Parts: sequence; structure tokens; C-alpha cells
Amino acid sequence: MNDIMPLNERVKGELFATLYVLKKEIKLWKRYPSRILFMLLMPFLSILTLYFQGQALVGETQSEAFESFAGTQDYLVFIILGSALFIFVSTAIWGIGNAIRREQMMGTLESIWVAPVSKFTVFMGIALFDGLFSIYIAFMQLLFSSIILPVNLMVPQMGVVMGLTFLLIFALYGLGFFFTGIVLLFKEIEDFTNLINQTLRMITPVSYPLSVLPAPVAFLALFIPLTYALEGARGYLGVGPYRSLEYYVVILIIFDIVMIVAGGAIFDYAEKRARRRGDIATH
Amino acid sequence: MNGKDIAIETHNLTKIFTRGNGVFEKLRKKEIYKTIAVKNVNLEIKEQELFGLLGPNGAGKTSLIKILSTLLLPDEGSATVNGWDIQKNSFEVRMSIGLTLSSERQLYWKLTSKENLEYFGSLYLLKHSELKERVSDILELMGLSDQKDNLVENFSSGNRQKIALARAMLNDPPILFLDEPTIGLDPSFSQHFRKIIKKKINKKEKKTILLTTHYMEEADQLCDRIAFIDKGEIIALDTPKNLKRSIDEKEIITFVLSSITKTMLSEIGKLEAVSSEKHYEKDGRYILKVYTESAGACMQDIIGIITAARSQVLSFKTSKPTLEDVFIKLTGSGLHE
Repeated sequence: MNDIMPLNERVKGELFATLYVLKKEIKLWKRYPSRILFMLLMPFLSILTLYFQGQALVGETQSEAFESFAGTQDYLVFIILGSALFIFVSTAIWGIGNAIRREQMMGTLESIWVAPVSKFTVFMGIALFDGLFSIYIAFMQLLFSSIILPVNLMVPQMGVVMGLTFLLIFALYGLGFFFTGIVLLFKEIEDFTNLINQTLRMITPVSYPLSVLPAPVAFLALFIPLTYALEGARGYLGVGPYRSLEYYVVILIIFDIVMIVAGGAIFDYAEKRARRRGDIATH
Repeated sequence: MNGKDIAIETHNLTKIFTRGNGVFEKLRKKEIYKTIAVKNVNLEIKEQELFGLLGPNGAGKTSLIKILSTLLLPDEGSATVNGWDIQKNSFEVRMSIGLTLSSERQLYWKLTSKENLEYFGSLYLLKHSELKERVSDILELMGLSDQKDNLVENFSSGNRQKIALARAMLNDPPILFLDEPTIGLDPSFSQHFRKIIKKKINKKEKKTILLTTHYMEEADQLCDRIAFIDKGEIIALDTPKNLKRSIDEKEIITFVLSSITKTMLSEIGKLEAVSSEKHYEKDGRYILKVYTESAGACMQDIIGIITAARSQVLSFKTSKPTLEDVFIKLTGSGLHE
């Protein structure tokens, strides 16, 4: 325990800093107008792509052939939910790690590192920004689908889906810490992020049910929290097999604990190594 | 302060960078090589002292500052900053210091100066009310109040450096580390900036300052005491006045020559009025410094020896010893090599 700052003041300071990191991220984001255009159009374009793709394959929003794999005929709801939840995964993978990489490239990372604030506070601020961004994209996708497309996803049961997504986010923050460690260890992160992003999209039931995958690949999906968040959400909305809410909640909480602890430990190792090697800020 | 009147203290601080010992590098059987960045550094810097680390590029100045500011872990030795151990109490050390690095891009160029300071202030865990007031005061101190809403990308290099200094002082730390604070600034702004450091920050705000530079005039003008650092080692430490006094000779003749031969140097060294000489190459020319009690007593003989050796005197000047001369005498090479 130190006597330089009382604990309660420190906690307040850390919470306050989280909000300032969020504020800074929003301001920097707003200073590039092209990002606003991307944010406005992205939810609609991605959903329309999925819709037209489905139309081209089966001509309708329901498919009996699809039911034999997924346990539901409603492939459009299936795929829209997959897309909406994958936004959170994608943002978590790209978010914190790339934000730290950006600070490294801008030359501001050492100024952050030398500050007394906990580095996890900085990550939480960035994660909050990513979370808000993801919530906006996912919400707009669901809203747009419900208004324009022949599906209705703005139903009271979405509260449970949001709850499962909330639990998923914590596990994804652990993944974010892991990626930050990767930035400190290897500097380059873009190719690695792309690889993980694509791999997760392929082996989890985002665009198709696990039953279409070869058994060893489908087995790997069991070690990824998105699988349970997706199956729980879809099952609760009646578009897929379902166990019980408690089952999905417990599994996601276990993932949260394991991934935050593991991600934090990897970051801690990488940070100490970078401070030993003197390459926190090197490109 | 946590006790004594010593602000910064180091004991045998050592840092060696090892490259080529990573897993992938070992697999590729890359050669392991080591660079000594800081070697057995022992320092005691007093409260409110303006202390300079003077040395050429790559001498270990920045590494030492990074170790003291907890950005870099030492391999051996120990150090305390404001009474706190740099390894065991990194939070307390960070609360006690402000740091500016020589990189110009240490601020967000797409944020205004006020937004930058408010953001970094929050990272120093300042209270909300305190933060707004502090940012306003510090912009006032730096003479930048009227530019608080300008984006940093529109600032001159000098004003960016002022913002960086303002950021380092946000939490009102007792100790400041300034790494090459005037690098890249034009001479007149450098002079203005040095005044801010000396008068406003050191004297008025009573900050202890550890400053690195490879500009001898800067160190001479600003610092209460100076440590010369070369190849990671402190090779001399005293006040600028005493360091210059350490050269017994009253005059130095500096020749710029087209070539240098061993015979020439040997013959100049034998002259009675010459106490020693140092020479080095710079930009394809040869600099010869002759240390003497009286330039007039040996000038003619030296020019004769140079001419006999078929070298040309491109220019020469006589001067009183400067800090650079002390450094050259100690190391045999200049600060700007």
C-alpha cells in the first residue's frame, strides 16, 4: 500500500481516466469524416449483402434444406444474428491491440506508459469505445433488418440476447489483452489479426451451423465463447437447438474468467519483456 | 518528498541490451550481440537541482532517463526517484515525475492543446475539478492560453515542445526528466525555451530537473551540475565552472586540416609550449586541438610542422576551454560525432 494517493482517490481517478480515454477515442474518431460515412453505411451494406446472398441461394428467407443442418428453416434470422454478434468479436480482435499499435506508430505510447494510470484502465476506455461502436452496428443491423427485411428481431426476447452478448464481451476483452501483448511482443499485428478474425469466422457458427463443418474443426469451435453466445441467442429466439439459459450463462462466465486472466497474464509478460528490451515504443 | 533532500539516487545502475537471443532468433542461429547502454552509474541529484547529462548520441542518456522513469528495467543496480525504488514502487515513481522525450510526435496532432492536456492529466489521476484548473494554469504558464483550442498539428515545433513540457508538469511533479528538450528547435526559440526551463520551471516552480542534451552551450547555460556520459559510463561530474577549470591549459588552438600524419602529431606533441593534443575526423576533414599555456608561443612552430607534413590549414582559431573541450580531452572525441 502506498501513501502517495489514498486508495479511494486512486479508484476514482482510474474510473475518471477510463471516461477520458473514451472521450479521446471519440474525438479522434470524429476528426476523420470518412469514419462517420463508414459508420452510417456499414450496418446496412453488410445486412443487404447477406440478404441478397440468401435470395440467390434459396430465393426466400426460409429454407427446408437449411433446417436439416441448422435445426431451423429461418436462415435469414440465423445469419443476421451471426453477423451482429461477430461484430463484437471482430471489434475486440481489432480494437485494443490495434489502438495500442496506433499509439506506438503515433509516438504517444511511451507518454501513456510513463503515466501512473493502470494500463488496464486505458484498455477499458478503448474497449468501451469499441463496445459502443459494436452495439451501434449490431443494433442498426437488427433494426434495419426488422424494418426493411421480412424478419422481426426487435422482440422482447432480445433482452436475453443482449445479456448473453454482454457476457461474451468480457471474454473478448481477455482476447483484447492478449492482442495487446502480441503488439508489444511482435509489433506487427495486422496479418495476425486478419488470420485470427478469419479463422474464428470459419470455425464458429457465424454464417452456418457447426454441423456442416468437418468434426475436428467443429470440435475447435467448442473452445470459443462466441459459439455458446450464438447458440444460446439463436436457441432462445427459436432459430436453432437450445439447452437452457443457465447452461450458456455458466459457460460464458467461465470463459470470461479464463480469458481475462490468461489475456492479462500474457499482456503482463509482454509488458515486462518490452520494458526489459526497451522496445515499448519501437515500431 | 519521502525523507531526504536527495531527489534522485542511483547505485551501479547498469543496462545491457542483448539482441539475437529471442526464440526465433535462436532457431535461426543468429549471432547474439550485446550493447552496453548504461554502466555502473552512480548519481546523487539534489532537490531543485538542474542537473545535465551531456554526451554524444548513443552515449546512454536516454536509456538512463528511461530507466529512472520506469520505461526500461535495469539489469543491475538500483535507483530511487523522490525516495521511491524505481522497480518496487513504479506507481509512486510515476506519480512523482514528468517526462518529455525527444520525439516530436508525443502528442495527438488531431486533438487541440487543451484536449491533449486534459487527456494526459486524467492519466495522472487528477480530480476532475483540479484537472480543468491545472490545464488552464499550465497553458498560461507556457504562454499558450490563446492557442488552447488549436489542433496540435497546426502548431510550430517549438510550441509542440512547449505543450509536451506542459504535459510533463500537469500533475505538478517534484521531478522532471527532459530528454533533449531543444532538439530540432531553431536557435532563437531554443534560447527562449531554455529560459522557460531555467526561470519558470526550475526557479519559480522549484522543480528538480534532469536534462539530457548534446548541446554543450545548453548544459553550460542551464545546469547547476553536469555529468559527462560516454558509452554508458559517467566519466566526469561537477559544476560547469569546475569542469572547465579541470583543463589546466589556458588556451586551445583548433585547426581544421586537410590531412594528419603520425609524424606531424608526434612533432607537435614534443613542442615545449604544447601540453597535449587531440584529433578526430569530421565530415572528411581533420580537427586538431592543441592545448597550451600560450597560443602565441607555439603557433608558428605548429604551422611549420603542418606545412612540412604537406597538409593544409583550412582554418584555425584560438579559444578558452569549453565543456566540449573538456569532453574531448576526456574521451578523445567530440560531442557531435
